[in-house]
Amino acid sequence: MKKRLFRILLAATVTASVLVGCGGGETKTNTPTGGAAPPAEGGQTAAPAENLAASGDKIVINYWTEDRHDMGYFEEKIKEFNEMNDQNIEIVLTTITEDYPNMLAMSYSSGNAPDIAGIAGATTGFSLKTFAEAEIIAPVNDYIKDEEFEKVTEASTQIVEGMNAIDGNVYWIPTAVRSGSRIIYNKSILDEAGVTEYPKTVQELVDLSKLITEKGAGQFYGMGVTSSSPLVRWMEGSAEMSGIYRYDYENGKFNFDGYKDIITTANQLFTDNSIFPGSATQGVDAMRAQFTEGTFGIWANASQEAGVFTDQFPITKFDWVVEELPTMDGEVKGTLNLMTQKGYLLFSSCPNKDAAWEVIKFFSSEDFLKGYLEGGYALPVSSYMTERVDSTRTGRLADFALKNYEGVYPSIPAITVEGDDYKAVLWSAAKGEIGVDEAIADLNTRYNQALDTDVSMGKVKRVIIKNFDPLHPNDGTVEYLDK
Amino acid sequence: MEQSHTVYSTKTKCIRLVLMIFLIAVAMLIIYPIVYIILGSFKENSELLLGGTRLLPRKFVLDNYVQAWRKANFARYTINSLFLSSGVMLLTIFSTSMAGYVFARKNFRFKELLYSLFVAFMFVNVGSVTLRPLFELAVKVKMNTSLLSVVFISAGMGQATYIFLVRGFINSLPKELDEAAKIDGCTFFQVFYKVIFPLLKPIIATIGLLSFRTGWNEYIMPLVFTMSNDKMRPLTVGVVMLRNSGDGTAAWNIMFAGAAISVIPIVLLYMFTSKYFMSGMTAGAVKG
Amino acid sequence: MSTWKEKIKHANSRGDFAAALMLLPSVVLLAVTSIYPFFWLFRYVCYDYNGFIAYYTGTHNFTRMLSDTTFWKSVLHTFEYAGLKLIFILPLSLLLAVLLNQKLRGSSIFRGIYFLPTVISASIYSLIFSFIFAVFNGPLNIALQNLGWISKPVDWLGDVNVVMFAVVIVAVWGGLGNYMILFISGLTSISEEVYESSRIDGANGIQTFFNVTLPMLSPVLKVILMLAITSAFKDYESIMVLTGGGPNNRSHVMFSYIYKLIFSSTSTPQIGYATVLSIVAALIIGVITAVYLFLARKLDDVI
Repeated sequence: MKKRLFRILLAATVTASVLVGCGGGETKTNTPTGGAAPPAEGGQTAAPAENLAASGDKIVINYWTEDRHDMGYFEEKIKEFNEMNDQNIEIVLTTITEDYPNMLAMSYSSGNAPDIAGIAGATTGFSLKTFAEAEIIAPVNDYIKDEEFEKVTEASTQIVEGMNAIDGNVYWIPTAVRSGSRIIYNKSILDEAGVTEYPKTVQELVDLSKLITEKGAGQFYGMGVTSSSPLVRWMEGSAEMSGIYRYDYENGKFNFDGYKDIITTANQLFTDNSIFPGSATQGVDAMRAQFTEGTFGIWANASQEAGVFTDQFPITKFDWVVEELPTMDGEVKGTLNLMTQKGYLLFSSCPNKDAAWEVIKFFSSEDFLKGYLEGGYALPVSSYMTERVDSTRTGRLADFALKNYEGVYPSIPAITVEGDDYKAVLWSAAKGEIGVDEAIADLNTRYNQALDTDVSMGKVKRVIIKNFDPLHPNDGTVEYLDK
Repeated sequence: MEQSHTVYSTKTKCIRLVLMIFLIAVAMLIIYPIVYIILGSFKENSELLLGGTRLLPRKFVLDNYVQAWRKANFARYTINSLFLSSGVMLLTIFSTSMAGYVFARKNFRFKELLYSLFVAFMFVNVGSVTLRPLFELAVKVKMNTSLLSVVFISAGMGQATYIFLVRGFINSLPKELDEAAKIDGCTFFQVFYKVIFPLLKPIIATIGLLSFRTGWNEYIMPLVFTMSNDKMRPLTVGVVMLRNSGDGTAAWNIMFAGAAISVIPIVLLYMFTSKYFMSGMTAGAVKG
Repeated sequence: MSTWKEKIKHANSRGDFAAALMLLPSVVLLAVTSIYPFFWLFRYVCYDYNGFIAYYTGTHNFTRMLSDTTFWKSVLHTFEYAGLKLIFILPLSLLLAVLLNQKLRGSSIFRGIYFLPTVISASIYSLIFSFIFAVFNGPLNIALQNLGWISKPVDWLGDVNVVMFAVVIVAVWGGLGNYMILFISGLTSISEEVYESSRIDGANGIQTFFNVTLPMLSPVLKVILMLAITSAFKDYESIMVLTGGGPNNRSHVMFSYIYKLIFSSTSTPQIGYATVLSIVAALIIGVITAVYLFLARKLDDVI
């Protein structure tokens, strides 16, 4: 009996595998190019690429993104586009939820890279330089000269060397901007804890978290953190607003000394156990789900939370309030860094660059952006769009409106650091896993070593800004040094 | 021969009882996670988010499986897993049975050298880094878009033990069988095909099952090879990737259903064929 | 003097060609999956290779390796992991094997249950355990709190002081069945008569175990111990799924750290450096194996 069963199972699996093996493993894209050797040409010419539409087949443009908070809007608009466009283009959207830059690189190596990929200034782990040098992505300098595109996005003003351009080759143009971080409070919990005023200093914030956790007695907790880019949720912003930045523009080197106080203060959260237990190992979506359930009272993030808490994880059980980040002493002494986003990379392996550019144009068009920005998913970045967006319709996004102390810092040299990057190390120090002084000394050594090496090898230039003012970071005189 | 007739004293009975309780306790600890996931796959997501130690679902739902199968692509993942496992099984049986036979029955100049190469590379293991050159190789020969490359690598990495198994087993078969067949006019290969292979059935069953299991449970390798290609993913990769599913709420319910789908087939297979699994392990270790 | 044709014919009749062809699949697999990667490594030791472009860096990878405290800590963790795992898994599986060897009722069911985890993929059961280890509402913390053993939830996977224990618990759970079966097969080879004679001598269970069973098991034990050590040093799949290297690299073992250097997303891949580390890791495992074999032989002479 057993033997017979075994034989039947064996026969079944063999049959199944034969049937599948013949048809299995097809890739999703129909890009004809494959293989590991990067194609030599970039997308500079505007000459018509091979037109697969000649036979009446649709040109499929694969679009990858890691943004999930606006998926609903994108899906709707893509559907419209697919039905109504007259160039036979079909957009296929794929959302990548983990390891985004790695996926992009691996997909390129595997020969199944997408045609375009969403990108932001803050995309963690993404090195524009690496992608540019390996010619994974194609420069779009010629494409962005398009009149309509320039009008809506003001592309020529959005080019920042090191962020979306390398050595003059532009790779993407942002169409939206994310506000700096904010603290998001669960009003019901604050009321229950008897709190009426919101913290202005970091110490007050930490004390508030402790108070809430005590009042909560296991039912609810103070602050929730996450394992995904935890430092940038609020700590880095608070540091920036207190005039602390990791790069010393005056002297052209990295200096992490300024972080000592804020890290030491934040460490109290962990020594007091006043954070949501286990949140340090939870992903950001899991924590958002918990916040929606009302299990902790203090969350922190930027303007994307407007869309998140309205569509993705709608908050229905309580009122949520958005407040400014606290600073070390209650005064704002530095600029809060803004991250531009919603840009689109064009892959050099794309066989239909013109068609792909049409899609990028569509995503950057006035009609698309008006709906997007008014849907409250992000803030406009060009003054053209800022004028045209009716901010009364943006829902909770209005709570995240840009303050006068938000701006973009001049880009710092893009270096390759060996070992853990500063965000991980500073966060570890905040958690108490390593000593603060130890962490800062280690970062100073490694980052400056890497900077010195890369500068001496000619890979980057040292950036120096005399009379640098943290409140007006772009006002000083910039110099690029070779050593 | 006298049959020993043991009469248990109360002391022995007590001891036996204690031991029994111990064994049961261990068994429950061992089986808890498996039961947890299988029963949990029938819970609603809200109940899963609440957590707790309760095993039985408050409300029994099948929807998780439906969602996993349709929306989350698990149908595709299952087919891929089947393909991968059967591929590994067939390739392993094919290559190791023949190699074991040659090592057992044929003498040639570099035999011991070759054999020790197999042994050496079983120990010299540079681990995770081998994935990179294999990945690049697969891309060069344009095989990285099919799970076939994973089949080859998985079979290749596991074959040494099975070759030893086959060799050992064939060594225990009398050489007269070969002689008789040769007298009847069989070539070297025909002796294998007609005489030896049929006798190998129990070993083949074990090798088949063990290699099938290896293929079914592969994770890191298919992860690297299917990272950017969702259509090729087997169940193991698909389930773990769900962890960061951004599709609305943290999809624990789908994850549980997916994990159950990955676990139940192999557990069922094991329950029916456990004898072969265990005999394979022992033969491999003691002889190898 | 035989001509070429005759030589070929003779070889054919001996089955030389058939043998060569029959060996071919496994030799090709060996060459491709084991030998080729091994030699590939050496190509990149002096380069910084990010998967697309290789930059020549000379001896930089070596100097970096010497000062890379995270790597050496991961080596330490590898020993820690292997040590903890072996301390728990070997006695426990031996105990279970001995118990199941007595003719207690339901032995085969127990055996089936204990072996069950080995059938499941490491990635899946690690995922299951990450649920069980969940801090706020995971079954383990809730059960321990209900029993009164802990007063606050333990952050199994996020607390640097606890994470290695959590990882080892999962490793023991998953590997117990394997070693138990190996011990059982070793035990069954000990003949009944030996037990009979010790019983006649009046030895009780425990005395029998230490004076009879263990010595008779020692050859099998040696093999099992070597298998256990080498496989414990190579385990990393479960760790990758559970903690990804753990809070502040606390649960990284050599191979997981190397994996992250090649396939991680938080930095550009550093494959050249990874090859150097892999060679060091392989050397370490080789030395451990050699030391073990040496010690085992020495013990043989003594016992």
